[in-house]
Amino acid sequence: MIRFPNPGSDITSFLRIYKTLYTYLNGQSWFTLDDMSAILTQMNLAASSGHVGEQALTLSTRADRSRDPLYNQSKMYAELYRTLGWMVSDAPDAVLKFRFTLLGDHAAIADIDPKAIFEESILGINYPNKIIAVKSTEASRVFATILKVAIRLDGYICRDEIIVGIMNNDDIGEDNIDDIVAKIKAIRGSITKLSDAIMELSKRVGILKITMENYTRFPLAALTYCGWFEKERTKQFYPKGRPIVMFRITEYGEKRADEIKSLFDIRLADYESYSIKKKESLVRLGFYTMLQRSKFDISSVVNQIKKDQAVLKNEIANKAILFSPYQTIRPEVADDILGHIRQHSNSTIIDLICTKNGGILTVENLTRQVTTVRLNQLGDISSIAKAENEIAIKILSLIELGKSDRKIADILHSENIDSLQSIFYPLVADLFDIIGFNCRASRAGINYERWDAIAIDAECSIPIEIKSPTEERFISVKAVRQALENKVVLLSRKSYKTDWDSVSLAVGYNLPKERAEVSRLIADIKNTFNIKIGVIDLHSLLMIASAALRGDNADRVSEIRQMEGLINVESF
Amino acid sequence: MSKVFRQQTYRETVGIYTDNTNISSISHEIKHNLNTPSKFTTIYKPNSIDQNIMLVKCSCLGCVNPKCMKFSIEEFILTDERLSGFPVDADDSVCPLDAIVWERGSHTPTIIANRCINCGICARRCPAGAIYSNGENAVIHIGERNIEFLPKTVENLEKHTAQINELLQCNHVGIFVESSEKSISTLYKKLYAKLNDPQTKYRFSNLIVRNLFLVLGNRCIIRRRGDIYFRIDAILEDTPVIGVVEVEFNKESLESPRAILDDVAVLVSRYEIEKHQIKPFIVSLEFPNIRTEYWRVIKDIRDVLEIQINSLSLGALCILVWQFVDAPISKVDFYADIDSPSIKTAIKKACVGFPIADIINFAVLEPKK
Repeated sequence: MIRFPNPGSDITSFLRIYKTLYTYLNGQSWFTLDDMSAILTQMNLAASSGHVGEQALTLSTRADRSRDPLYNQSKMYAELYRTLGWMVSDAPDAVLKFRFTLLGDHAAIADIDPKAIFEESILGINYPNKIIAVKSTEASRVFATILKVAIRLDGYICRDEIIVGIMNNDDIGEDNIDDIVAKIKAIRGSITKLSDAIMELSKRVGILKITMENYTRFPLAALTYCGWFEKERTKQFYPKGRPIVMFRITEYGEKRADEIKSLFDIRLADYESYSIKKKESLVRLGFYTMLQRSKFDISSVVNQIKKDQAVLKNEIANKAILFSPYQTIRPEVADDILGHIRQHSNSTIIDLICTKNGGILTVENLTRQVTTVRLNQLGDISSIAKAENEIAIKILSLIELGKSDRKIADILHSENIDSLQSIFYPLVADLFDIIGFNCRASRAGINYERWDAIAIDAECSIPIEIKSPTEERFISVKAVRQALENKVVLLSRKSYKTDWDSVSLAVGYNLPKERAEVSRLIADIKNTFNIKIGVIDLHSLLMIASAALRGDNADRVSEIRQMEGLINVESF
Repeated sequence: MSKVFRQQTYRETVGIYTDNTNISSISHEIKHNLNTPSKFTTIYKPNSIDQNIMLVKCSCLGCVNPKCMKFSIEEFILTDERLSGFPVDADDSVCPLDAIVWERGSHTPTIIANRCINCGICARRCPAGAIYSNGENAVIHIGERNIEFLPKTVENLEKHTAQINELLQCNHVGIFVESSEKSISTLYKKLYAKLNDPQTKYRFSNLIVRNLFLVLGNRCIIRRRGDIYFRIDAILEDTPVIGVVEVEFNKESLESPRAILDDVAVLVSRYEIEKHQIKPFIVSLEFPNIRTEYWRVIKDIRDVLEIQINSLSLGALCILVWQFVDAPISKVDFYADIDSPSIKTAIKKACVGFPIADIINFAVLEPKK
């Protein structure tokens, strides 16, 4: 399958980032992904973990580069700019050293009509080529084919049809195009057939459906950005079920499709079959006419174009050609033929922020706000509490079976993976009861009680925001925000007595995925409003409750009341 | 070395007031009218001796830098260096729906009627006062006989630029659209249709709010798309006040006060902005119903955290824009809560001299009863 990375599907932003990178890196003989990341962060064009600028780079930089979000973002941008022929690996054996191409020079200065050169560059994308080593085996000029195929499908095409029909098939010659059209026509009308085709394909190529969909984000954004297609939600082609988003070809798209049909499409294999002289003519003709269609003034090379057309008279039959050298053959070959010598400055590559302080800082090294609860080791079960609710009965029965607190938490945590609010909220309230709070879950539909449960106390009641696993599997920033609101409402409306010092809790199934961001927000809230937010996951709560039932009589109520940040339970 | 070619421009002409119209004697006031092109007074010299003062219809000059289409980044970027790290969406479009286009070969831009929602942002930007409303959408008035479109020579370009600079000095008076039930109904009918249209830009809501605040005399930046870690929708600046904006066009009205507190915490803690400098704004399509908890929570936040959250609707912002008034955030207050859930008085105060009608069917100045 043809794969396009997805660094973001906003083409305007994509082009702006290219121009910024070009401005700062064009003077270098070559540059790396780290240089790109440094520029993106210095120019505030990339963010990581809630920060921009140098801090973003610091937060993003991980020892394992494959997990480094900024590095990966730069890698995706680089791959797309290379696909467009604007940037290349400096040499075949130096794939992560880049430079800009002559086509890229033009893309960077196209201020009057940036869309025109972008359009030509996406039409220039063709596989296989000598620019990017890809896993796919398809011979395809994807964007031209989308236009050609959509025209024959009543002017409409949808994402999944592009996946099944175009991104996974060869498109050389009319026969292949006929096959693609026939394949999509056979699916049209039945959403089940479309879904089956996607699932079969996913199995055959070994790529998840969602991943295949992600590969279409860039092309789909490009189709609408270029004004070739407009999105339309309709049931016209798949009447059963909800209307789906179809891409409807515009008048301009039709015009481009007509133009493309009249062009002589030259692929890598065609180019390689020509003599040296004809190859040279192809490179010049392909490049100059591509610029001409991108509205560049090429009047100074008109005579050269005429000469090259004459050389290729028999091959192209006086047709204009669709051949983008910087997207098809090795750039140094194209440079030679076009007489292009790159001027390099001798300045050094920009200092990398991540190594400025003599070492790579890692996200894992950052201090997070964590409250640790250490459970006590208990030798016997003589002090086991009396079971007062259903969950306590369950925990006690597991204790009696000799299970550890952690094991008990593991079992009951798994059992509740699909718990709805109606089960989960009272469960959380019961666990707080076991620990020693007087906790009750709010009744559904009582709007003025903003919290989902409250640990009632004569002086310092604690509002509890609960997220069941069916609402969110991992506690999020949203829950923290709600915990803050709960505290404000409780302090304002005084429905239960509380004080500024005690925590407001957010409880959910698992601790947050984005722990750094949640911790940071909790710290921001404390700094700004002097309100403490604590985050507890079900597993931790079960462990503390189990220990409490086992007879751990430490004052967990005070510990939790004073807690701040994410909980961390340590047991023996 | 191979040549890098230049891209061809397609604006080969510039508009210039000719026909003996003395642009430097403009009365420095452009009067906007409903349903008809705006006018300004000028001195007309039919021959070298006589001169008459006459009213001239404002007409598009085909600006070399069309302010009705593009903001310059300097116009919206913030001056407070502490906020320089905010990942700015540099989309410079004036029309959030791309309703203004400049066709190849045309002397002037045009407005695509079915894309336009009649918000008035472009009319506020036009230095020549050439954009008016026909009640349904904005229209660019083109083709007054005293304007000629001449080749873009150095001399003509200088003259064109000088005339635009002169026009930029003019005060704008009058109205683009009157504040009435009918005009709000027209606006919202189109707005709701656009919000359901998959063609509408993903970031339309943030973009229109930014552009409305900009033409009301503030600096304003919105978060760049894709920066999921930055949750602040927009930041306003009218020194020394920093505004923080949550744009909520969905029904989840209760999420906005929470988001605003998150924003304030981030600005104070990460950007070292002082709490008292921050003025929060929630901009919704229509105000939440009075029975929702929104209005009570706004009051709770004021009582406990001493933060006054201003509530605005998109319609209210448009009303301000339509009246050609300025609303720099340091000088306006749109605080409303359960005790007084209305911004009608505040809007009236900002639009002195213009009648603000009761708007019953749309919750743009107060919640529906």
